[in-house]
Amino acid sequence: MIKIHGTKGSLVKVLVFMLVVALTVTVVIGCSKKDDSENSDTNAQTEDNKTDIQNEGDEDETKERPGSWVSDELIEISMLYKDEGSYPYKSDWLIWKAIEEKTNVRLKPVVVPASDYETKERLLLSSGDAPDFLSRFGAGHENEFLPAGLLVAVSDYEDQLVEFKTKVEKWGLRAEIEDLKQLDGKYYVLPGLCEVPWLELSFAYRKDVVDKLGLKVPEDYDELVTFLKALKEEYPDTKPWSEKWNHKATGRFMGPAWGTEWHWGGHDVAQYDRENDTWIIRAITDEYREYLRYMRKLIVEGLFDEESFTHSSEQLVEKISTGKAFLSAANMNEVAEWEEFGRKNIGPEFDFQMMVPPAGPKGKLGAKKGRLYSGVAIPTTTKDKPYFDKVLKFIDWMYYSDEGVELARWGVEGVTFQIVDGKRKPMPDIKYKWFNPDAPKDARIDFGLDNLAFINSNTKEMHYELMSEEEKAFAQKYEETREILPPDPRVKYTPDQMEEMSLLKTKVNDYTNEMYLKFMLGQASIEDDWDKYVETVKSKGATRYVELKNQAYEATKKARQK
Amino acid sequence: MAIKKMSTWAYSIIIIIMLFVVFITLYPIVWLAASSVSDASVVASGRVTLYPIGFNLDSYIYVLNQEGFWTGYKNTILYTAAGTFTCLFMSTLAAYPLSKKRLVGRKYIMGFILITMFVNGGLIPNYLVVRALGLLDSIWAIILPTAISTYNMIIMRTFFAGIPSELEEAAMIDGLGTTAILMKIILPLSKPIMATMALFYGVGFWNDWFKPLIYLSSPEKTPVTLFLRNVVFGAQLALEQDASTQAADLTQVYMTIKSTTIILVVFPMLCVYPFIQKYFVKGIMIGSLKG
Repeated sequence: MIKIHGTKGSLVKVLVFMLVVALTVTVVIGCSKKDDSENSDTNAQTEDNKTDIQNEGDEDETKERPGSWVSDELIEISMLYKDEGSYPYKSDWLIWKAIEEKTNVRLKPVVVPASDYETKERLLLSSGDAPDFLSRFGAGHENEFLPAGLLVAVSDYEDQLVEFKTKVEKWGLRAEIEDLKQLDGKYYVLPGLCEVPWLELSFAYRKDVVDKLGLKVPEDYDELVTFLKALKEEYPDTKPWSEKWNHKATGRFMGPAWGTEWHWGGHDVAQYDRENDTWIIRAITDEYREYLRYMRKLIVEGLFDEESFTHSSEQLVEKISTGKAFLSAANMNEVAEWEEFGRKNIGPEFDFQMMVPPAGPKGKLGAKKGRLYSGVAIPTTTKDKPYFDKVLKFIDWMYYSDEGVELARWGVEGVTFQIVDGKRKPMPDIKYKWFNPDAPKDARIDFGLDNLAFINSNTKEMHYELMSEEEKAFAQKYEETREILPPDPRVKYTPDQMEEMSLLKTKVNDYTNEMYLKFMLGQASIEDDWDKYVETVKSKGATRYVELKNQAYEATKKARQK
Repeated sequence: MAIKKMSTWAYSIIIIIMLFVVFITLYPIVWLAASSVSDASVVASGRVTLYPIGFNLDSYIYVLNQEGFWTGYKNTILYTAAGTFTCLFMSTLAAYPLSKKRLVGRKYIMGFILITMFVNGGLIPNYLVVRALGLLDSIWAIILPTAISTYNMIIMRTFFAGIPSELEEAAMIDGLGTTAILMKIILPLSKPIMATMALFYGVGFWNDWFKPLIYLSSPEKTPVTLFLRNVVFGAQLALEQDASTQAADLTQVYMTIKSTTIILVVFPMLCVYPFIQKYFVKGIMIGSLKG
């Protein structure tokens, strides 16, 4: 017996009793099961509360606007929304209101910061609390969720996704969609569809300096060396070519020209050999060695900034905007940012221009680019909800119909854009990409337009409409003078293969990444240490990895023929 | 005392080293403050060191206009206040009985609690428990699961054990019950430890972003730490995590916005700390002395 001191023990007894009750209640709640999810409760209530019949007006509207869709009653659909730091989520954005007006769907975003999006996405999916659909979902990302059966096989519902199917056929994307199929012959992601590939990445160079020195814009990588040397002569204490993000962005367009690969997302151990339709080990090819030799030479001569492998993107911007670097890989958005800073730090003549990727030993090759962009996935929990078909219809409208795509990019006519000479232009008081740079309002920040959660698909017209003259000239020259390679085939693995391969991948990649830097920085010799390096790569498991990958590839090809 | 015996020479060396340490510690904050009121392009060029160049309050105006910032701040203050109070309350209720040697089964209860310091269920089981208790998307999911930090509770327990038992015995003779002893005698004597614990818990709640990330889903409930984390780390972490990230997806935030947000979030804690730190040293030290 616990001795409770004091004559006023009754107060203590009451407290103890309350505590015991509280604990018991907690345990009881913990053991009971929760049945319906909250969302279906909300929708049930909304359906019950609906008094007005909106059917008549909606049907007329649908007939007038082909490719449009309106829900016959107001429903709430939840989505996973990635909140970007540069345009934070606002609940009163035009985009939410416009979607509700046009389709009678109230979107309820589950707002997750971009910094921890993956963690939350995995947690919600694994625990069964996922929202109705997931946005910003890249093709390939679904592989980790398939063994547990967490995603809906959207290929089963393709017939209901009318706009999606039409665009796939119209733009000749069936082959790429086939490539998304898993070993069971179904695919689980609805990617964004683009009529033309978006070639956004290439070298950008300091146009004003280059013009002043009368240099020729390099057409291939030998001319690039002369180009860099001339810059270095004029500015001896700079390293003209500097990169960020560990030089991996450049790999997207430089790799194909050299016949090798290195890119972010963890360099793959295997590389696709298109001629022989098989996979080989990436980091030991002769082409890779040639590339290393080339880069090493540039580093030794002080033409390439070896800090690129480690410095932050802010440090790169610092170098560029103070005239310590003249060449870097970028997209047009970044170039605009550099120009803004550079003009203030150096002067109004500061100008950066994109150049078409130089030709390499393998020819005039550009990036490997498909026309599928990141898209949407649907958790299996949505399939059991009564409004599942409306979710499908909504996704079809939002991401694939001309109306939905226009809304996501341009907003509402008369409010955020107007038609001038048959072309869309943002309203004069709205800043949008390179339009109206000094306008007080911003299309992304104030209206929620150009939001990556919605702008997955693109038509050719809109693609060019949004470009500045400079960008258009670059895009057209790129398409005309460079061969765009198709993307590598996607390979699907069994869970056992995935497990073994991920172990091998870590082992091999740790070594190849380390040696990549050592070769670049001269701590290992590309000539003398190469053979030993090749042997080590193979012994770390690269041979076995490629063997598994080829086995999986054969199985995938067979499955595609289902 | 040792200080008197030290030569001035040795004393100056120590002063110089300490000044150096102070400088290294202070410099990042001074730089953040300076860059938050400087011109963005000057900051990008690396010219801002200790004082602002191109003084402007643009980034403050921008951040203070963000809806997410204000709701976040309100939530952070709410969670910190409610959380600190709850934690202090519960930790005291746990530490005080455990500080009495006459508690039956004291060793076993302590052992049971100590195990939780080393063993944890993991992310998904924790999430499932919180969900089963119906706490998801509410303030209690942030406060209740770790309402008693074992480490803090042990410090409190040691402190309580250090209060002379004669005081309690005298009070009991005068007729006070256990609760009254706790409230009238022990608590007034515990100001140092309470202040210390309030600071520990308070800072913990103020800075917490992980629990809100996994347990909260309504944007109106998220604290400002997630806003801050997204502003500072958004692009970088998105790149590291998602292999399929396209180049154009990564949007960069100006360094000035990042520094402004950091300053605004850290500022209150910076202000509170000097006033509490006199208890801080006393509180830790007293906790380690035997009664």
